[in-house]
Amino acid sequence: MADTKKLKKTVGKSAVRNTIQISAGDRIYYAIVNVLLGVFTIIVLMPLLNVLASSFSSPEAVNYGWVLFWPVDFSLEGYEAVFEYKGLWQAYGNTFFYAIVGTALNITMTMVCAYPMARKNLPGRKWITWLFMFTMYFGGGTIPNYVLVRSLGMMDTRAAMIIPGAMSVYNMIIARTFINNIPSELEEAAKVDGCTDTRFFLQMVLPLSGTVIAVLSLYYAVGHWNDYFTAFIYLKNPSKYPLQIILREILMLNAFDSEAAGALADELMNNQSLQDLLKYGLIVISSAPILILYPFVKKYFMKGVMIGAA
Amino acid sequence: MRKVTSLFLALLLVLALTPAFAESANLSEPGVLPIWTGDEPYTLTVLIPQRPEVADYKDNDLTRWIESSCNVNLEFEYLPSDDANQKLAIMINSGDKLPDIICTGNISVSDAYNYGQAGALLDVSDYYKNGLAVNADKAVAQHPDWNLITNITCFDGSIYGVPRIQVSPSNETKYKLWINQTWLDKLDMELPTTTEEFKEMLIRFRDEDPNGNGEKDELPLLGSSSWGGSPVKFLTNAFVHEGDGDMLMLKDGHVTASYIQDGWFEAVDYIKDLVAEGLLLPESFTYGRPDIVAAAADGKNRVGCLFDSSLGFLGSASVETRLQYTCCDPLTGPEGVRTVAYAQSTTTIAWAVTTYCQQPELAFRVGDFLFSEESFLFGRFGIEGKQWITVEDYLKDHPGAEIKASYASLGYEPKYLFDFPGVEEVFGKVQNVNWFDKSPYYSGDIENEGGYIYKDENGNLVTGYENSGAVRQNLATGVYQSLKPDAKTYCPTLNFSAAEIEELGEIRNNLKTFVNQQRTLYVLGQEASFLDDKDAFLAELNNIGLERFLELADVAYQRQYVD
Repeated sequence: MADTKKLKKTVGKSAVRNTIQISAGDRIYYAIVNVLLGVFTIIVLMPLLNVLASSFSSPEAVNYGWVLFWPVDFSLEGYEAVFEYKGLWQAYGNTFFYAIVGTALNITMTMVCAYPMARKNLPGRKWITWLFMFTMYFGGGTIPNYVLVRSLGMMDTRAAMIIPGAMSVYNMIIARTFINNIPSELEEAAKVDGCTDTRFFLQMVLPLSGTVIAVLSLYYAVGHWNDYFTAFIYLKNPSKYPLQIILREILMLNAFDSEAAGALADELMNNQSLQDLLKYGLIVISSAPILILYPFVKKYFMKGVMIGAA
Repeated sequence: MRKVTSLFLALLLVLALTPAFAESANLSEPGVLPIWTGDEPYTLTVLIPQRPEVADYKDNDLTRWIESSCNVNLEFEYLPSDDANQKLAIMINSGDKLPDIICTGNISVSDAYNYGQAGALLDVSDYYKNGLAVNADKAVAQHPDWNLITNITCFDGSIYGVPRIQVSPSNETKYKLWINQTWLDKLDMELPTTTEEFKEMLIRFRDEDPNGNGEKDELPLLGSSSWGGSPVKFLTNAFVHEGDGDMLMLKDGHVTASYIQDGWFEAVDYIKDLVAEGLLLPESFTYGRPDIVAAAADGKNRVGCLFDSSLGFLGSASVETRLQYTCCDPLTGPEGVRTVAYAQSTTTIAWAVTTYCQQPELAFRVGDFLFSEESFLFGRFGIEGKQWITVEDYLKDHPGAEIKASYASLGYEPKYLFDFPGVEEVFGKVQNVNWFDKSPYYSGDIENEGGYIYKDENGNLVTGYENSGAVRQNLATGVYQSLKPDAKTYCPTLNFSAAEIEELGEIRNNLKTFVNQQRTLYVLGQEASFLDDKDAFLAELNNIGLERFLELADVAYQRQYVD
């Protein structure tokens, strides 16, 4: 017994002795970094907590600014009003559809385009790159786009939400840079074994690009999720509206317009008190799915963002 | 000569664009319903912003009323309710085929002119001239000074649609002063009548602990950026008339600006003094509605006076807090000036006929049909007996009840009761009665002729009413309205020509921003302002282009209202 104790002690001691000593300077440095990061986290977290707490508070508490980081007069009135809205679930479904199908298409287009652009032996690579870059700096604007979509017969169709802007040149360049970094030896080896370009792309490049695909998926999915304007100009039928348009309508429904109300202002004031509360409920409802997505993509995120810098 | 030629050309264009002139065989004589005399109802398509409050535009009481009265069938195409005009602009500028009628409710006159030039909207001025606008003619005859048609007429005389107007006396005089009655009672004071008395009252509010908690936490006077909450408009009008927007006024029959009048500079000094004395709080220039609500409704009774259009600002949660406040009549300045920042209710283009319409005359006349008081009652409130009732009918069922007019102070008799239980079903809830107050209509005097039940049939006082915020607001509005600037002082809405808008666009905005900014800086007294030196202020105004602006504004005024 005594022996083992002794042994443990020595091991413990040696362990301490063997760790790399952190110098006083470093220790101060780490302390400062930790404090700064802590402060930063609090700054970022506070508004989120405030929104969350407000969304579960009573309308009065929200109106008079009593809510800080914990619900005051816990109530679900805001959520009730939001979920009461008949078009909400359909819009939620639409947004999921646009986000999933749209992102799948985005990724397909981006990767299919990025692979040849990453091949050094592609004829006219410079020119094609230049053409792509051109569209990053010069766009036709809203009306030409509108005319184009109309002429293609995509007005008021789900395709209008997905096909225009199916690929972002910026994201394609990120993917291209990533594929560039796949060692050329790999390709040579595959070629020697008689592998075609298609097979190399599908069996080597795609599996190796998991990181960049994850990151770009997040970029694209967030873009689809938040897209308001595309739906606003191309869609007419409310059954195709995404969440963002419906959320705005719910806000409007409960907005209080004292100018329009005129002499009826007094009776209609009830709605006003609900409006601020609704805003918070809507923020929570609309951003929750995307917030839930982040942790799953996080591990790829660092790598992916670094590629953009390369 | 050029004017004649261009008018002639415009007429030619109109004729060219309206093939339907010849085929009005199935239309009734003006003023006779139904308008369409064909066997089958004629189908008109309407582009309308889809309000979330309306469950179904097609299966809708108002829609059915229009359809059966005019013998038409309305089919709807929708715009998103938010930013509807933005989407409309995209549709028109990209040459989309449009439905027969556009009913967004508020196309601006300059936009309508551009859409007309682009060939999307139809100039209907001839329909007005030819007496097809039966209801509009009636309305103009009833209220010639409301500028019903003038307001939507372009500078060249073209008119792109049927107007809509809701005259609200309270909104016309929205800058009201509300004083804490409990403080006045505590200090045994009367409501002030002059700027001098007002200042004395504020000093006592500041110094004598009117909320009685022993702490010096009183906020004597608060304004905000909310509707009617401006901290300067109400007070300035005790020195000189200053309206909204461009702050224009008339003097000797010509347009001038309020901010170059002597009284205006005295007003700024008076307000600066209030700030320096700690009476008007500097926060008034940055606060929004939530901030004043938070300050006034925190239960500590800290706020003495507030600027706002109605007592509604405090929300329904705190009726007691709300009812602490009494509306104060406009104050008299040292020179005896006593007026209000009046803004006349204006018409907007609510029902525009497009060039794609095969029966433009019918479309126009259906719009005119909607420009009526019946349409107002239906479109704003709903169905008789459900959402509103005439006082006469009410008294039949409730003999002996006593009804008072909301705007008795303006000389109106009570004719309608709107405060019916059903009205809340129409406002602020999903409903199928009308288009949620967004259809074309002509309010006439109806809203002013609203009443409230003062005593029920058993002679009992209906509690709450005499004290309700709405009644106080309406009583005060009567006084404010009686002090509105006369036709020799008030400058009504001006419609500039396309060329004038191009020249003035930036100048107008710059002047407005400059004046408001410099006034705020000067009043707060923390930073240098051009107003520290009156001559420098005037010189800078002319640098921005005030002279040219006033010149063109006067041209527009003479063109629209004098010639």
